[in-house]
Amino acid sequence: MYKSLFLLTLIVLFGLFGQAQPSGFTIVSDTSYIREKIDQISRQTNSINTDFIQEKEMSFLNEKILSKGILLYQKPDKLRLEYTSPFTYLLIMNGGGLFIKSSESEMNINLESSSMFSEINDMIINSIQGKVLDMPDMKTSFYENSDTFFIQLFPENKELQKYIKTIELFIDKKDFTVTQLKIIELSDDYTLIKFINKKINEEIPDSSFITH
Amino acid sequence: MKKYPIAVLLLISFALLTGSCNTPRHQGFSKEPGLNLPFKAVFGHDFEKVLYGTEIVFGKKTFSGLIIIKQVPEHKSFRLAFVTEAGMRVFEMEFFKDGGSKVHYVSDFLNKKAVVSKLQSDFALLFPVGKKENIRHAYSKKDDTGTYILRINENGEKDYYFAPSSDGPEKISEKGFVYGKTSVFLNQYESTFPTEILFTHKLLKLNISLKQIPYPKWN
Repeated sequence: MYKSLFLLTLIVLFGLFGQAQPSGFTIVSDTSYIREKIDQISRQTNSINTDFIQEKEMSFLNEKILSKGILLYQKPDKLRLEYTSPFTYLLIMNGGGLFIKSSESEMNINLESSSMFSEINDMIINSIQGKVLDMPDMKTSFYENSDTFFIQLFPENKELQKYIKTIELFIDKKDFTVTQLKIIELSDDYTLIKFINKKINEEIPDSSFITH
Repeated sequence: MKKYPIAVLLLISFALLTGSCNTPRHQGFSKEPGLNLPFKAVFGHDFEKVLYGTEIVFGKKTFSGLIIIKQVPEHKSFRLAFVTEAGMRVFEMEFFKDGGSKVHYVSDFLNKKAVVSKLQSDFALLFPVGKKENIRHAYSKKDDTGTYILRINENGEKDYYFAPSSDGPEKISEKGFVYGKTSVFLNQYESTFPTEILFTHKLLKLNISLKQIPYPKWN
């Protein structure tokens, strides 16, 4: 069960790094330029340091649950996701290690000891490197307006289909980085993550990725 | 010759049954015959909504996330959802004031009948569902510090412990044949809800702890 909870979390992270005709957008017929540009930018990206704001929408709540934190990524396989408000939660991936710290407990998981974790790890890293759009189990639709590319991903993998209806990515046309990620569940409840204050290729200390 | 062992067995059974009857009176509580107190549930009619940081320890596995509880007046119910910190819903349940509950969603990995049923019955202890408001079987005693404790017994299966001026029960215990006794400890009520809740089980390695997350702004 723990693995599955981890998978749920990683599904969100996975979307992070990669992505209905939406109002105000027109369909993009030739997507090769976007794919090439995202691939090029991801190859040039060695590190990401960004704040994020997360909105959780649930049908029975009139209000959204807001949280915020910091995300750090260092090529090729280091990731730190830290929620700072209104709760604290830390997830660090570094090579074959995974460390999770909540307000109540800490856990270390060896990714190499589990083929499933290993596959998920590879998937995330591939996504970070911009390969998410090439994934065979995702059907994609591309849209645009004057300043944003909007990409919808529909999982065709049966495991993902149990949890996710659609993943939506908003990409800034200026720098081809993800500005917003929306994960829509089967019930249409969703999680929207907005990335702000992005710093690309700034040095991040190794101590940020210690998994213990 | 055949009747003797049967009689012995009956006697032993009777002794075991009476011995295991953990009635309030046997724990130093005395009956309050004239008492006619309204029942205060953990989340009562004035409650609106609350957010808890939550940890569920089941065997060797630990799950952390958030639990959101909200009263839904139009359904005459209370809705409870457990989501991961990253926002993925794990389970969502609704508890109706006129009795019963409904599971709206359970993640595939957790969707096992026994697990869902146990979570449902545990969380149901927190809400004013069914006939609890008609309970009149009350017992009282003074504890070591001289504090007056009221114990309300529901159908002989569930006990709700109240301190005199508390905003809700400070402890709930429920007898169970399969998993043994379930105990719920509730601390530091803040008007309409406790800021800390802990579920423990005598024969099942399942602990659920909830700590309120002060939420400055919901939107």
